[in-house]
Order: sequence, then structure tokens, then C-alpha cells
Amino acid sequence: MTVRNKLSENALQRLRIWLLLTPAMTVIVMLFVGGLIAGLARSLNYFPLIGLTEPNLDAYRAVLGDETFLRSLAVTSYISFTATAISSVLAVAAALLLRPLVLRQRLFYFMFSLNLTVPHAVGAIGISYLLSQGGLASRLARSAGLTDRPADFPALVADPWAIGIIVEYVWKETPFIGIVVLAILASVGEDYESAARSLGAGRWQTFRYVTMPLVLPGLVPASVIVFAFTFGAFEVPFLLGRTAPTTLPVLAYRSYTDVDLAARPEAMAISMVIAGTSALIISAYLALTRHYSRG
Amino acid sequence: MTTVTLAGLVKRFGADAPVIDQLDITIESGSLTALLGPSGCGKTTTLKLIAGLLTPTAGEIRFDNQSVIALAPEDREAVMVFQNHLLFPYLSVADNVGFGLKMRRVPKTELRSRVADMLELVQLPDIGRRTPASLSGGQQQRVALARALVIEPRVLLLDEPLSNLDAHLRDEMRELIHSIHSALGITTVVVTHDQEEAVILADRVGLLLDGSIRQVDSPKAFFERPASAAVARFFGGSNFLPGTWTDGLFHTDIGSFTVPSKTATSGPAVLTIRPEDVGIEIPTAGGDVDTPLVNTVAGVVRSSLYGGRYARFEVAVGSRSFDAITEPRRFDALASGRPVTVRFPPEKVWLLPE
Amino acid sequence: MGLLLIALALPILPLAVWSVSFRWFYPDVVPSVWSLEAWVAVLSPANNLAAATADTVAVASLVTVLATLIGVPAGRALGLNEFPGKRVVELLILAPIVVPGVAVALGIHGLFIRYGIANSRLGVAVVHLVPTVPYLTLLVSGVFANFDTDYELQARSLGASALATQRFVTLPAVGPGVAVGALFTFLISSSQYVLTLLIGGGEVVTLPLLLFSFARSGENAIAGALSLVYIAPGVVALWLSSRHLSGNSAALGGLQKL
Repeated sequence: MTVRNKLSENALQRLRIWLLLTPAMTVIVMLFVGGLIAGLARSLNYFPLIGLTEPNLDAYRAVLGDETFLRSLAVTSYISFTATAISSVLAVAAALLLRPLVLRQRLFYFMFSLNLTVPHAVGAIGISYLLSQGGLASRLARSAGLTDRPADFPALVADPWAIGIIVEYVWKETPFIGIVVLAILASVGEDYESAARSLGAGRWQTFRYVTMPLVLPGLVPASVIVFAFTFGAFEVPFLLGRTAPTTLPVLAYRSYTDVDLAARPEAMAISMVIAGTSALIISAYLALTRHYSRG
Repeated sequence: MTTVTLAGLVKRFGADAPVIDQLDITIESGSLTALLGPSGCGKTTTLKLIAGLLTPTAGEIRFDNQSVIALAPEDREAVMVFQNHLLFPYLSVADNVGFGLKMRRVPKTELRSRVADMLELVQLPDIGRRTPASLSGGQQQRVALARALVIEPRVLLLDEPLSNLDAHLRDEMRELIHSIHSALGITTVVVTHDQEEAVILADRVGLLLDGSIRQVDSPKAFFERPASAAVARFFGGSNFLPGTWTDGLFHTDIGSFTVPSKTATSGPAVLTIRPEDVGIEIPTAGGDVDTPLVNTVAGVVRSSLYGGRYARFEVAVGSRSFDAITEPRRFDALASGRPVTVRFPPEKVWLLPE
Repeated sequence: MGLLLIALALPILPLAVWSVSFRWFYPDVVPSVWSLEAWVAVLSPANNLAAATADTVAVASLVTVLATLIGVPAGRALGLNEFPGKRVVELLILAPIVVPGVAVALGIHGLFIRYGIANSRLGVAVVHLVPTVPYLTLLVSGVFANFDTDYELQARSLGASALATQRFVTLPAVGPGVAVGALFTFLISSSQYVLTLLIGGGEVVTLPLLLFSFARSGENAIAGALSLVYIAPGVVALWLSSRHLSGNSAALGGLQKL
């Protein structure tokens, strides 16, 4: 038997919610926000423990004036843009292709989502065994008489165009975006498209004016997630990328683990650039969706 | 047997306007009472308040004159059956029905026999081992009912018990509720938005509009003696004629009418008559002076609608217009534009307070 | 369709072949000497991977327990309630999912050195909470958003106490979803590379670290076998949970980051 205090019923409920949230908020604030702040402080050369109490922008000046950093930024952006764009296009195509099958057979859905469970690291190793100049594709090319030596096969791993990295991302992220698109296609059904066809829209027009607007609300967030992830991912460029220029996360890690401890603030500055970029992408996305949902 | 009294009940969520505002009703011991109202009028909230699933902002809830406000739902012995059954999907039918007994730590053998008895009572023996998902909607509804009844509550609260069912299942379910109610005599409160459901199910109806009770009466009284225009409107009344009652006559801008004297006090009032009680006659060739029936006025059919089992007309009388419903075969004779004589039989009109 | 599935399987194929090869030089398309040696090395109980497996399981188990204890209450609060400040909370929870681990790991490393938990299993487990707690919270909030709390009211009305309601109604209803979340939390933790590398500082060597070193030092056979072993639990988990995952973008978002 419980006696409840009527006046504070709402306040109690509010308190209960915040009590449930407190552990998670503590973890996020202490670790994530704390880590960011610690990184920011260090990047500003603010480190009272060793007597640095005057924050300055030296590390940022050094990093932004460094050609290694700028080329790395360019490479990272290029990889993320290209991988995200190719994955998105392939994902929509694959979802449309698989739609009739998936609606009938859950097994196809399962198979399509299978490599979601394959860690990026494993995917990257697989790609290197497949595409490197000594890899399986190169050997097949030789047995087909197309090449003579490993060096005849085009460099696809640790290559200037980061093809190996992009292929790994496309391989892993296409099913991710595709499944989001498939889920939307399955939930809205085919009635809208049938209605458009009977109103006189051609196949392409139906795709352009009916299917695309239907899947965009899922496609765009999924693509944004992929972009932000590939921008900050470490494992794949670490395994499949060139030593220089490398991507920002690898560069940050290398500067951080450099024997020269003076490079640490610069590593922190690079990691702040990565965090800032992903925050920027997400807030731009949020602002856009809010704008569209209002308009 | 338990009498349920709600007195001055108020329920407000956060800072919003109250959902329930000064609700008073006494639900007689052993009665089958329907709380009727449009969706969003606070019916389900009222049931949850009685069941103890919500705490009122103000007011009293008494079972047999004892406050139950302080009692937690599990101690209140007022069990609620939700509209969408809410059978626990991961339990068998028998485990669902036995849930309340298990919570009361009833010994297993007794539990099993009581569950079997109850499934028998709702005419679903031998389905105890099936899963809820394998049952039809009507069967699920009955299992939900059995699950509530097996704990022998003092008060049974049913939320829209017929609304999820097909027409023929509704009849079956109504009969089942009636037969269970007369067999067990549990004080039962049914909530519904459907006036027909309330009328066929309950022996008493409480009409709930905007968070408070407007009239508690027998089902028949709502049609014949509505307490206000809002009540009449809810029960399909659409004819309202303002006027003044003096010297045994009701004077309006389209004429004076005889009304049953016991129903009204002197002064301004509103006359109402149900569309099916409005008479429409075609005037004879000599005009309508030959047989001057009481309470007649001349009018013109403005529009008509053929409804299969009835025909419906809108008739203009002076600046007013009235709805009338007749037998369907009169549809052809009463075309739009036709002059007619409109009659308000004195025994069928009813005066409402202004 | 067939092409698509082949493309999806293609990077796995050389891993499988390497895992059963002993000698496989260019330009042979298939190994010249086959062997199960790598599999024996990976699967035998007394192997040189035992320490790494122990580290991985210890860390991932601790992470799963902690993340579940922390994430489930938060997921419940978010999934069932509207309250002022909810948007801010959601943003805070999304942030670690979106902001790359490397970006915060460097700062966290500094903090951990100060607290003395860098280079330890505990430190690694704690840092794994950064990607897992938000993920689990989001997934569980989705599970609770699909849970009709009227079931709880119905149970109370039928005479269940508040505690019995949680035990007999809420737990069975949300249990499978939470179990899926816990399972994937385990997988996410056990596949972390850069966080483990940084915070573990070489003291905590989990399987992904070992896998990287095999791959980079050209021990292809054992790297191939280890990769396949690595994929297996995820595939099984996906199969077990495919019912609960379809259309749950929070769950898929977590997988995408593996």
C-alpha cells in the first residue's frame, strides 16, 4: 500500500527520469566531454600540471601551416566524399534491385545485412589480400595473360587515389545505407509508385519524383553517418593507406605517439579538427532537416 | 457488491487544462453502467482513476463509502480491461488468465482449476495452452475478460469492450457481458464513445462531455428527456427551436406549440424534437385548413437523402429549418421544393433549459 | 542480384583461402601446399592467442555489464517519456556516436594517465563505454518506445505489485531487445582497435590488436583464420537477432561502426 503525495507527482516523475539518466550522462560527460575538453586544453598548450598556464594557439598555427596536415585534410575529405557518394548511389540501386526479393524472402535481407557484422579491420585485410599487387585479383590477371609481374597490376592498395580504402568503405557501407533504404521501401509499399504510374509518370519520373523523395529522409541521415564515420576512422587507412599523405586520424595518432612529446599539442589540435568537422557536418545536417521540416 | 462514488474528481496533466473537471457520479452496486462520451473527453482517464492507475489531482473515489485513494492499484480490487486486450504475448492463454492469481500467490492446483472454470465461463474451454497471437480478436477479448474476472474483483472496468469487434462478434460479446454480469453481479463500468454500444449494453448511462458528467439516466431517457441541448445533440438530436413558455403554450417566431406542461417552467426555453418524431404530410388540394391538427406549420422540403432503411429530409419553416426522418418508401413523394405540413406531436416534444 | 552477393562475399574469399594454405606464392591462383595449421593454431585451447582471448573476453564482458547497467535505465527514460531538456540529452547521446573515437581518445588518454587507469584492462573497458553506452541507450530507447506501458498498468490492475510488474511483464517484453543490445555491445567492445591500442598502451593486447600485427607482418594464414573466427560471432548474433533488428536504425548504426 502506498500513499502518494499529489502535489509533487509531476516533480517526482521528473526526478525519476533524471535519476535513470544520471549514470549514462555521467559516462558521457566525464569521458566524452571530459576527453574533448582535455584534448582542447592540451591543444591550446594549457597544461597546468607541467606549468603551462597560458593558453595559446601555437599548435593550431603549426598544424595549419604544415603542408603534411593540409594534404592529409585533402586526402581525408576526398576519401569520405567519394566513398559516401558511391555507397549512397549503389545502396539505392541495390535496395531497388533487392526490394521484390526481400519482401518475399527474409533470407535475402539477412544475406544483404551479413557484412554489417564484419568488422572494418577484417574487411580491410580481406581487401588487401584481394587487391594488392600480390593479391588474388593480380594473380587471376596473370593467369588470364593480362599481366606478367605483380608490378604490372595497377596499385590499388596504398595507392595515390586511395582506391583500396574507398573500396573497403563502399563494400561495408553500401549494405548499411541499403538496408535503411530497403526498410523505408518496405514500409511505404509500392502503392505510391503505382499511383504515379497510373497518373502517367514514366519509370524514371516515378523514381525521380516519387521513390527518391520517399527514401531521402532515411538516405540522407545514413549517408551523413557514413561520411562522419569515414572521416574519423582509423583502422582502414592504417591498413590500406599510404604512409604519406595519410588521413587525419592516422596522422593524429602518429603525432601523439611520436617520441617527441612536443608533438602532442599538435596531435590534439588535429583531433580537435576531426571532432570539429564531424560536429559541423552533423549540425549542418540537423539545421537542414529542421529547416525542411518547418518549410 | 460495491457502490462506487466519484466526488468532485479532477485530473490535470502538468499545466494543461484539466482532462477531468469536477466529475460526480454514483455507480450503483451491481449495476452495469456505461460512461459515454466523445473521444478525448476523459473516459479512459476516469477508468484509470477508478482502477488506481492514475492519481486524481483533487476529489474522492469511494467504494462503499470508503475512500480508496490511498490504495495502490494491486490492492484496490477494481480491475481494468483495456481496449486492445493487452494479453501478454509471451504467456500462454492459461498463464494470462492465471496472472492475477499468481500475483496473489494462489496455490497452483487451485489456480489451475479457477482458470479452467473461468475459460469455461467465457465459453473458451480447451484453449489454455495456445498463445494469444493464435486467437481471433473476439477470443482475445474474452480471454482478457476472463483474466480480469478470475480474481473476483469488486469492480470491473471495461474500456470500449465492443469497439474492436466485427458486427456479429459485437452481439456475441454483448450477450456474454450481459450473462456474466447477471451471473456474477459485479459492479461494472463500461466506457464507450458509441451511443449505440452504451444503450444496448448498460442499464445506466452517464454522459461525459468536456470532463464532467452531464446526465446520468436510463438509456431511454437520453432520447426522450435529454437534460440539455448538448446531450440531445450527442444522441442525434438536431432540431432546436428557441422560444418562451407561458400560459401552457410555447411561443416561437414560427408559431406557438403545445408542450407537455410537466416538463417546463415559465420563461425562455428551447424546444427539441427528434428527427424521427417530426411528422411531414403533403397538404391536400384544398389547403391545410381542413384538418387543423395541433402543432402544425407549413414548410418546404429543401433537400432529401435516401438512406436505405430510412429517408431523411431538411424542411424549411420560415427562417428555421428542421430535420425529419421517415420511412424510406416516402422518399419519392417528398422531392426537393415540395410544400409540406410539418407536425410536432405534443407528446414527442421536450423543452430544454435555455 | 547474384553479382551483388558475390561482390559482398569477395573480400572474405581470400581470407578463407589463406586460412587453409601453407605455401601460396605469386602467381599461384590456389595455394601450392594446403594446411590446417593456422586453424589448429587459432582453435586449439593452449595456443599463443589464449592471452589475447582472455583480455578480449574480460574487457568485453566488463563493458557489456557496465554498459547494460548504465544504458538500460537511460534508454527506458528516453523511450517512455517526454520531458524538458530531452533534446539536449539526445544530442549528448548522439555526439559520441558521431564524433570519431580518435578525436576524444587522445584527450581521454591524458585523463586516464592522471587517474592511473591507463595501460590497464579497467581503463580499456572504461574507454569502451564511450562508443557502447550511447549505442545501447539508443537501441533500448527504441525497444521501450515500442513497448506499450499499458501492459504495466494492466498487470498492476490485475494485482501485481510494482516490483512484480517489472519482473513478470516489463522484463519479458523488453528482454529480447535488451539482450540483442548487450550482444552487440560485446561485439563492439571486442572489435575496438584504436581505443584499445591507445588506452591499453601495449599492456592490454586484445584480438584485434593481434590480428593487425599478424596482417601487417605478413602472417597471412593465421590472419585469415583469425579473421574468419572474428566474423563468426557477429553472423550468429545477426541471425539470432534479425527479428528484432529489422528497421531498427539505431541497432544498424552500431553495426556499421564495428
